[in-house]
Amino acid sequence: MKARQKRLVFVGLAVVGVGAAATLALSALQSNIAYFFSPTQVLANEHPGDAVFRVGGLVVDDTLKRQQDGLTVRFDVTDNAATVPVSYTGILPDLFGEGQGVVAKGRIGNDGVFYAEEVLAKHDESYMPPEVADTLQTAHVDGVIDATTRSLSQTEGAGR
Amino acid sequence: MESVMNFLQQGGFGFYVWASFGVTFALMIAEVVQLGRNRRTILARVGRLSRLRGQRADAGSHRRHASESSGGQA
Amino acid sequence: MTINLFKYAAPTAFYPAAGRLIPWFGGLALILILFSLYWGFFETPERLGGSNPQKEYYRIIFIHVPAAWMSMWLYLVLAAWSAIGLVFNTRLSFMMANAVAPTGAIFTFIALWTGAFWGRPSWGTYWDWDPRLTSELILFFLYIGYIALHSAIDDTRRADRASALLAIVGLVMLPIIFWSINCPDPNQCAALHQRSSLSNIESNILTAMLTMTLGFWLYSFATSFARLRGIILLRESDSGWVRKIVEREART
Repeated sequence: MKARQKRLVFVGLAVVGVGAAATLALSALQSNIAYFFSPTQVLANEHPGDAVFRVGGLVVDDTLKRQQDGLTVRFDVTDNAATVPVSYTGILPDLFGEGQGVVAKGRIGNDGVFYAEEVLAKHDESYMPPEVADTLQTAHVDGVIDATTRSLSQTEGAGR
Repeated sequence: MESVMNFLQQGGFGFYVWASFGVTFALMIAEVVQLGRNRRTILARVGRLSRLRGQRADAGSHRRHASESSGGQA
Repeated sequence: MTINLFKYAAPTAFYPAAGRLIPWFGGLALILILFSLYWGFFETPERLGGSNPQKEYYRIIFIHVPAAWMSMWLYLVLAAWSAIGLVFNTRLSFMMANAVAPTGAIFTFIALWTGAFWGRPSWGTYWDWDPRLTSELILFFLYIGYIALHSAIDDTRRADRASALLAIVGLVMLPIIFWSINCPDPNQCAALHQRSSLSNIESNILTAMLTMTLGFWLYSFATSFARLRGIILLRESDSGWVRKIVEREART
């Protein structure tokens, strides 16, 4: 084997090794450290018990309520299969709204309410002016389990 | 005038929009300026080096010159 | 065939060719970027709707997405030239890798910076340890690491080899960045960052975004060729042809 071929094999092996490492890292990322948990996972106790974690899903319509103090809000987060009530004191992001995607960071209380220290809004990847978007009906949040996608494809089918 | 103000305000989000676009193009322009400066310093440095060598080499061989220009790429 | 290719890859042949190309790349890049800015600010809707009801700040997409694409593309170019350099031992390949790295680092920084100033008004935070954001930050550190490692080793040939290896090992980040939001099963991608898809984007927004990408791409050619010419002059300063060039350019 010439020196050049040796180096080719060496670099080729390095690239293959790096690829294998990437695959392993990706599968580990998917199964172990989830960025957020869906309400279904929370109800099934798959979240870290006392630690701070994130819940992600859609804000359920007509559940957003401001408490007496005028600062605390309560709303339900759903993945269309399960629902977790969330309580949060602070300023909500611009995109926050009923029916929109949300990621809340905090702890779950003994009363089953998720007490959030931070609430972030999620949006999807469609960039359409309002008048076009209204006819498209693309509302979904990644990480929300299949139910959403299924119910969406049904509404889309019915729309046509 | 009012339309210019409206444009700059970007619906009240001017800070975020202009902080993004401003820093992006400031960095890109800075990179181009730095490359121009870099080129001038390199030319001056290499020029100085070659003058030094030239003075020494002028006395001697043209053979060395020829071997260098043919040995471009191994 | 091989002989021709290697002859063309010689710094002697490349230096003047790159010099002629730079004004074209730079000029075209400027035209495309200005067109994209005009189109992005004056021909696009002010507000979005549906499940992405963003206001004017969504216009940051016109630089954020092109810069993020460039950050990944240029890393691929950097790693490819590094690999070619390691295998074929060609001087110009390592110089190419060296020339691309700073531009790649700048675009990675731009992607992170514009992402922060987009995330604050939309998501509600400048930064979060979301998989996409974190992996892009690591990519930035890889660029910095490549540049730092190269400059830390005095012997150029050893510096070339060591930093080339780092670049190849760092390739691991590209699929991670890509799949951090585009994993095959959307339910597995728990992230704050939205997925990337070009199918649901209004055509004017898409036009501005794609022309900016093309503009950035041509800009990256111009800057890395300019940097490459400097590197060639420095590294080949012993040879006669560089001396001739320097003498000629000193006169003008």
